[in-house]
Amino acid sequence: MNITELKTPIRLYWDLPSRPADTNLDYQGICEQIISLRILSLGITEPAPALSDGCLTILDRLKKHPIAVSLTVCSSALDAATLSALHGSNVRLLLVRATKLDDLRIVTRLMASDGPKPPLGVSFEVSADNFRILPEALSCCIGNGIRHLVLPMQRLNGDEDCFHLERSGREALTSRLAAIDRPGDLKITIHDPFLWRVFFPAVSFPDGSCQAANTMLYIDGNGDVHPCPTLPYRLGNLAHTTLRTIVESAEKTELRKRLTIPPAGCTSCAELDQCRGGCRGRGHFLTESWDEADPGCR
Amino acid sequence: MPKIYRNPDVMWREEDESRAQADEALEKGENAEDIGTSLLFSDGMMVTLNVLGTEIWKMCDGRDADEMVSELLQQFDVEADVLKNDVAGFVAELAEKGFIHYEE
Repeated sequence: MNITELKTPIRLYWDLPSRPADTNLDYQGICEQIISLRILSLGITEPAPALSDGCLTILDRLKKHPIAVSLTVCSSALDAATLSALHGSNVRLLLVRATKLDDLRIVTRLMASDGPKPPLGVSFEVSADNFRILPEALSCCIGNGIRHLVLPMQRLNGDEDCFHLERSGREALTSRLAAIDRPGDLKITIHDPFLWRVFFPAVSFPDGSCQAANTMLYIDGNGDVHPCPTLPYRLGNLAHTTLRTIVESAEKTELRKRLTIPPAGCTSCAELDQCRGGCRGRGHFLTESWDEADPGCR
Repeated sequence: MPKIYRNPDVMWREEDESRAQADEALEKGENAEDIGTSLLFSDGMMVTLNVLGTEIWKMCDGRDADEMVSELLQQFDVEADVLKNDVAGFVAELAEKGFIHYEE
């Protein structure tokens, strides 16, 4: 018994604009749609150095609804008053953006600070510049009592480099990570199926296959809605149409159908039943084809 | 007998169309066991429940297992002993996943 294909996603990722003054989105209206669609989980990313009015509006509107809201912010946005306000906003998990070990130490200081605060964790943005320190980052989290480590999905809607690890790099990381004892209460969230295997070689990838446009959707800083943060395929813009219209659109359904078919380039691969075609967003971004394998598997 | 409570960190929703499909099957006397009617979501893990699982889940609000069985017997055409075993097994599975907790 299973529901594998959903009409309405259960999780939504929403990146707010880096320049809040530039947006004309109706945040209240979008929140109404999120509530009415019965989205279960919302991951907000606030790129601004301080919490924007838009972010506070969203948190306030959703705080009494059964939606698990997590918020990813820069450490500069967090002082005692903000932590206390976020605690009152029913934020389930507050993630601090990190790209280096020093960022993790800031989280430790925030955790030790007085006053109420939501559960704190780290959103470690993996790139070609920092993937080698993943074992040190993991050890640092464990040693400092950080119990939520998220490796967020790459945002490929701009000019960002698309990061992926070659097999030899993955194997080297796997052996270094295996040497680290992990406490049972440490929660590690990884969206890249091949990075997942680096951390958990013996555990199946929880998402199974690509969940773009199925269990998840993504809203970027311009209000464009995409199937997933790693799949820059514009399904509509919330300045001109509603989230419900996009969720129920034929375009989304058609795209989803396409994503349920593994890439032709993977059909003869012995590992297909494990990776299910890998990250379809990255594959499409790098090869401009739905039929090529995700280069992240090489 | 311990009371059973849902873990408030577990988000869930019923899928209306699937539920209607399951109800229709049950009305016709057909098996609806394989029709998922609700989703539980926690820490990135999604679990699908069929109609019986969904009804048990909704009753995890402080009722004990005997109370659940007694109420479910009014809704489902099933032997009491079979249902008792099903409820016990299902609730134990939810507890193992951390989706419910017990209180004396």
